[in-house]
Amino acid sequence: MKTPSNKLSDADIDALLRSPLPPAPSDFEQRLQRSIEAGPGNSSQNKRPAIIRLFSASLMVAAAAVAIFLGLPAVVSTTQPVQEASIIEEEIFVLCDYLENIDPETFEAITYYASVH
Amino acid sequence: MPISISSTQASAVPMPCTDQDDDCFSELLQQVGAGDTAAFDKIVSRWKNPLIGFFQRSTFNREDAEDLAIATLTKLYFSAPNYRPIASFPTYLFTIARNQLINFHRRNRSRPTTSLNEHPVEMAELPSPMNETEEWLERGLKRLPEKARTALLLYAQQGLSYQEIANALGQSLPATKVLIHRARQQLKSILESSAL
Repeated sequence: MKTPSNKLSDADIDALLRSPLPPAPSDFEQRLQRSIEAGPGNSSQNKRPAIIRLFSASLMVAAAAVAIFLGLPAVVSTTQPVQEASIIEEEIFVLCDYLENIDPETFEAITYYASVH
Repeated sequence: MPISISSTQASAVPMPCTDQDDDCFSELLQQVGAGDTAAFDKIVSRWKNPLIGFFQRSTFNREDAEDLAIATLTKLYFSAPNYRPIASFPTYLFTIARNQLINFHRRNRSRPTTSLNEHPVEMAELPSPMNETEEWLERGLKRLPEKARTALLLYAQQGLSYQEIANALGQSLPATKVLIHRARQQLKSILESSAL
């Protein structure tokens, strides 16, 4: 591999990314075992009670819907589509931050919908 | 189901495929779904270090990388009964890994496309002293958008094919090739401009 101060080729970049990192610690398997024994729903942190999560989810979906139908179409105009779309994506990202475990496909569907309407 | 994950690669149960054959891990995961925990040992042995490496170069924090690798393997374990080998095993595994990564960024309310000095504490928390080249690479990777960095890591670091990455990211093959090409060019440009 070339030194960092040289011009880099594609192969140099790939070699840098492939460079080895320290292996898993010796207690990795024990930690994994504890995680599995804790069950499928316990790996995510900061879980809130189901009723609060449901209320929060409903509230945030409503807020996102209002934002999409009232506010965002005015921002996403044909004159400034690319930059604003990324800003909107950021905003929706923050909104959806409260929706725990929302699946990425739904998130991308919302951002797509906001960017085309 | 009683669980016993051994830290060694040895298993009393004979396996139908070798560690080097990624396609065989689909079969192993189906065995896990049928209750064979020894098959899960085999999967963990083969994929724990690649997962940690992927997450370390995505989160720039060793502790988070290990936690995310554990979360991914836990998810994999519990998804095994419903697993159908439609895509390759690495595609399936890294789709779960990326979902974990997205949730991680969401929980931390930080987007990865940030300035160079945004995570000085995290950099300092790395357990092993990083050499200059590793720090230089991390500074470059931090400036890539999450999707581009993930695609490039899956291709260059993990050795997935373009099609496997396209499936994992849920986008077309041409778009994936363009994404990886642009990510590599962007990283190259960043690294050259910030040469040691």
